[in-house]
Amino acid sequence: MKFQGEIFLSELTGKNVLAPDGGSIGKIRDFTVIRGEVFPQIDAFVIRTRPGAPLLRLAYEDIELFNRRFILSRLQPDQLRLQALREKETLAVRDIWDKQIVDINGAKIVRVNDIKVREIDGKLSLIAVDVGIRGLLRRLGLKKDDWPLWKKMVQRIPYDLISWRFIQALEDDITHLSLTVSTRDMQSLHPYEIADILTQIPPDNQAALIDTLGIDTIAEAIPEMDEKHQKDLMERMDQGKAADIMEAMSPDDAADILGDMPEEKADAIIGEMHGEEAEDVKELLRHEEDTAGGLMTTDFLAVNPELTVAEALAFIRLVCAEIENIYVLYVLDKQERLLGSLPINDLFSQPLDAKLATIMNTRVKTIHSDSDDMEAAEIMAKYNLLSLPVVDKKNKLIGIITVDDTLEVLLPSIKKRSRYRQK
Amino acid sequence: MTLGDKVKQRLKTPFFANLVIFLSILGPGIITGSVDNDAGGITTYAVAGSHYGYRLLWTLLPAFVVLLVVQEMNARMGIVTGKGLADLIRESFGVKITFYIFLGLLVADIGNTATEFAGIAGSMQIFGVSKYLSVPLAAVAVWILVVKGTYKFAERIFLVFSVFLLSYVVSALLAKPDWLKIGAALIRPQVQFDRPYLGMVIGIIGTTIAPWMQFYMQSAVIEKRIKLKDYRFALWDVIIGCLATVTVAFFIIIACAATLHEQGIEIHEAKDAALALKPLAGAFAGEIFAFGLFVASIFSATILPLATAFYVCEAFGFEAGIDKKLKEAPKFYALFTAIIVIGVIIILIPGAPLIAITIWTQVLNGMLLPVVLICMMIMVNKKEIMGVHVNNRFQNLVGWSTSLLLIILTFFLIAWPLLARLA
Repeated sequence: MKFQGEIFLSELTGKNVLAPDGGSIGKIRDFTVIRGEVFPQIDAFVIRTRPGAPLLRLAYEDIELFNRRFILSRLQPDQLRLQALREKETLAVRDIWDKQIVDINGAKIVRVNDIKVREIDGKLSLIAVDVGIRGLLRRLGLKKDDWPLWKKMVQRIPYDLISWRFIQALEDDITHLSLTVSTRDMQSLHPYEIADILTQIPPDNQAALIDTLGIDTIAEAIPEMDEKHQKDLMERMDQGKAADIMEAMSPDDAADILGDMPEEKADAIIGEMHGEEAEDVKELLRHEEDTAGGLMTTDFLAVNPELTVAEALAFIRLVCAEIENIYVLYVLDKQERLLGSLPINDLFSQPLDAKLATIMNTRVKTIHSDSDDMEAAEIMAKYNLLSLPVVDKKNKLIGIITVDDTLEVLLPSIKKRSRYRQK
Repeated sequence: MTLGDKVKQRLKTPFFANLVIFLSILGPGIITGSVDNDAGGITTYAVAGSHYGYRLLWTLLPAFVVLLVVQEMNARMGIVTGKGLADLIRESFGVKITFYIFLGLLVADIGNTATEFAGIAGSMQIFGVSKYLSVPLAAVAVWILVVKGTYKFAERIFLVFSVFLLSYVVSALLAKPDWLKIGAALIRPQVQFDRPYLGMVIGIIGTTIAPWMQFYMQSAVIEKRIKLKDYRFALWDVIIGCLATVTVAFFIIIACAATLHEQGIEIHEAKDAALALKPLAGAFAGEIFAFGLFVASIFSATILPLATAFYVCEAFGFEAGIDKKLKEAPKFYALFTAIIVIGVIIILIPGAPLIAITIWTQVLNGMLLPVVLICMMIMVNKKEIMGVHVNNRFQNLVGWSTSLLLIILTFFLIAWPLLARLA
């Protein structure tokens, strides 16, 4: 490994390349870029040996090691295999710096201020582009560490990096960049990553993207966006479409988003939703945000105690597609009061003709819907629960809190962290 | 045949089809040409008319040629590349050069904007309105027009404004000029070789072409999404715009020459011209003149900060455009607002050194103009950028000699007031 960690190309340009004996070979001017497995790779450093001399390539394999302070060549000056630049070679500084990254439809987004590289499997790879103010300052040479006050100010500026995974070349030479928003690639991304991209592209294109990805994919991605972007996106969307997306979402996510929107707009969207989904969301919206009720979802498995194991399993087969988290089966009486619970894996170990009433666990930990959400998280941690039933004053089961929802209570910073920021 | 069919039939005939296309393209050139006659321009023409009578009218001919050449290049670059001038400069010359050019442009444009507000203050004083009322009100009106309006709406208003500039024609006719003398001054120009005279020539040509206008022009062409096949219509738009500029200048000089110069009155501000026209050509002429000054100043006080915010964002990859909502392009609107606010504050500070601010703004304009022009000439000749639409030899000859001429003129424009102040 010649290089550890990550570095921006602007931190290398202009630096001297040294021979093993410490003599100077030349100054770095640019980098040749070739296509790599996942990320584009830097094939060679482009060097000018003296002012006015032609640009030469120093292959990456001929570099012994390098860091921010010095770059050492493996070869003595007389062994150097400096090669002239080939025609049509892609150069990072000449061809990628300062260019726009555009989305597929040609609307402009951002400019490449700098490029971040890292060594992956012995190849120096372009891993991200810097499109932020920090990159601008770095390029301008204004990121001075020896001015303490300035340094402090610069540190407050957020990083603004776009991973190269989201960037593709429009043409064969990688000088025309675009954000990868081709539908095929997008479908295979995690909803969080789709949310990332949605956050990045201009509003005009968001609508187009939402249309191509389809309601279900978007319904999973939107809850992953931070609140501000979520709100912007939903407010711009027309009511009908917003209602469709809300229906496809799990009710607690839908309620979270609608709860943040202006009441009028939220009501209008709920009005367009179908009866059952609308009822669920309305029910959830009745609870304060910081309570167990605000945290819960109305998606849960509930059956009556007269069922046999075989019937319960058949029921689960029937409804499991619509329920996000199936950890526990809840047993309710006719008034929907909670009688007991059965972890799903227990169902499999019981005889098929056993009545649920006889095998269920009747000492169920519950929480009242007005209780503090932190308390819910504590109970779940203490009793190692994957889900915690939420009941009202009459012990009626109104929802469950699943363990993934409590993570957001315990680690709120995760959800609020804005997109694309890397350290 | 219904009326609709008749209209369609008509549209098939080339003349009407062409007219419709032309009207849809109309805008960038005419608006740019009109903005050109801003408070600074009107002052220059009025002073020229009052000091030298008709003798400086001939300078409008070279001014017309210079303007035409430069703006045609702008339009062509915009149409061919689909990119703004700021975009192209950033991509061709890198972030450092771009940054310093734009820092200069930003400072100069804040000064320019202040000058426009001075024009508003001066013209409204003639109608007895205090600047502490007129300037903030105008600023708010301008802000609302841009931030709350749409581009189409704003452009329509600007086009109407351009028509109001023709009020100077009325004002000039009311002054009953001597057409024989005017004809003679145009056909046989009397050139003097003294410093004030040449200074005035430089002033007239210099005021018709400002650095920021090049950026505005090109952005406006792009915003209209004019296609290459419609280039000839865009060219007509530019020609008409340049003609409008020169025509208005022509009549301002005439109005002031026919009255003030004949009476031996010398003025130093555009507002003085309006005041002085009153007793000589009737109160109506003075008020029309003042109204023209007001419209021109408001017009430019809108376009200038807008154009500045636009190209700064363009160069640094921030979302921009008045079709975008406030929160979609926050940096753009912040810049736009800041330029207006600073401009207003400068004018409203009691005892602010307005003349010094104006002079230094002109100096900065002058220093930036050749830089921008040379950038333009280099880029318009690059095959990678312009393809087959690079300048031909004739265009290059005119382009480079225009640049050279302007550089020389600019040098004197800067040097003389400075030398005069030192002496």
